[in-house]
Amino acid sequence: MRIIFFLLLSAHGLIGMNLLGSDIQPSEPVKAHLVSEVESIQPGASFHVGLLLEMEKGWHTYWLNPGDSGLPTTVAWDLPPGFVPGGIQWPYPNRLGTDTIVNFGYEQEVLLITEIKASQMIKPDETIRISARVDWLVCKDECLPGHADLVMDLPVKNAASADSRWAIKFAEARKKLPISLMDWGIQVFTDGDQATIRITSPFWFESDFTHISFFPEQMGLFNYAKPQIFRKVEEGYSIQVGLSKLVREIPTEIQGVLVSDKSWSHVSEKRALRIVVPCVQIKKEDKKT
Amino acid sequence: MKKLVLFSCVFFTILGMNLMAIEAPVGEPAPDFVCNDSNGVTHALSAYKGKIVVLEWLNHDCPFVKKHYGSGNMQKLQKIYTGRDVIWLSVISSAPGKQGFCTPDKANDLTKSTNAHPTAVLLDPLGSVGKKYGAKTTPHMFIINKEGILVYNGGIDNKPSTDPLDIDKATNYVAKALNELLAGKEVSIKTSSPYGCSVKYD
Repeated sequence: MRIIFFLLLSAHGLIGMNLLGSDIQPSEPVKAHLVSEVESIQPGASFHVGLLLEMEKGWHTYWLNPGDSGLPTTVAWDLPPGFVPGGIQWPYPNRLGTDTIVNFGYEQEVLLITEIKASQMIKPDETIRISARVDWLVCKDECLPGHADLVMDLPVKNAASADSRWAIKFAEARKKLPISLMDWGIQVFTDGDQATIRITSPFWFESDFTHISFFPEQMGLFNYAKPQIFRKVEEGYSIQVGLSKLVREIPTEIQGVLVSDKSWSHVSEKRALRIVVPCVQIKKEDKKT
Repeated sequence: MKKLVLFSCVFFTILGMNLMAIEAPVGEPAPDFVCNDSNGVTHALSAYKGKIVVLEWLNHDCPFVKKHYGSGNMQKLQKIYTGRDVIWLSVISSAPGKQGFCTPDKANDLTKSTNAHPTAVLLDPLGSVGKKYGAKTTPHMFIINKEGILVYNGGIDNKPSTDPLDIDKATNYVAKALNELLAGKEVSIKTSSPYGCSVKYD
């Protein structure tokens, strides 16, 4: 009895606290915090905030395409008039799950960055309240849906200043954001139940990938359990990915992220490349009957 | 101590296929299986030719299943359509020790306590029926027409969430397909993304 009383007291105490501008929420394996890259905001300027999810060992949350099961984390913003939020900037995920059921998501910790544009009409020394309702599914062997109502107050000032507490976390998350590069040649062909992604290296690329994984953004298109076949070819690389038999119509465009063991950029270390590519269906030549 | 009796389901192996990547294709004959239910009765899919059959992958501890059972949504579908001569088979493919695994007694208790109305609850602890169909989530729904052709493979509805309030806002693909079949029409929406917890295979 005494133990229960103590636990109730602690829970109540925790609910009373306001750590890092966030609230403690009931879903135990995940702790969610709303953090800011900046200490203050300026009228009409864009700034970045992040949804920091800390997961207990063995638990994971999901990418924008969760894979064969699961649900992606969603955020609904409650901002003052004139403030415009962007979408979640998803770091590239890890492949999780089993041979039979494949998921795409995050373990331990993930920072989901969002850019917000401030209203022109705010004035210095005002305080702006940023609220977010976050919903997630966190799974280990079982799945627990969870949510948090997070709140953060930021002052309006004329001069910008960074919040150094989170600088490292923002930098680490940004490293994992996919880049879009013009000088990589990407083509996608589908043929029956396979899709082939052809990658042509740019002239400056002197390195060599030993592995590239494709993470599709579109749901229901690919057979995730079918192993992807990575090959080095003359002009670069190719990846063969299984298509789902349940696809009724091959789309005209494929969207996804290619994750490699080396950088796609010669300017900075970026292991993920986002591709948005027309999809060409190969038709077998008509055979004479 | 009650002996734990495992009911294994026989399936017909196709040599050379990667069972892990299988998805039962719509428009083709549904994979046949032989499986025991929670009362020890053997069910063979081929014996149901001439009937519409629904396969519902089930794990009572999964929050997505709880969404549809807690709200009464799944039981309502089961009652309506078994009442119209549809064979409704709930399938539990959780392996022993994994979430959702049921002994025959536990399965019957859950059917009773949730007031469910399936024709039977098939126990597939070795996962052979599940893997034959490529059942990925709970729930994952399959519909087989009277000729034994798979006519629907996908989610129960179009709102992937654990929130029961989404049920009324959603298009229920199973009800839609069954209504079309019972009216002698073709199923219009043949596939959708199944959503839920992953099936807890071995």
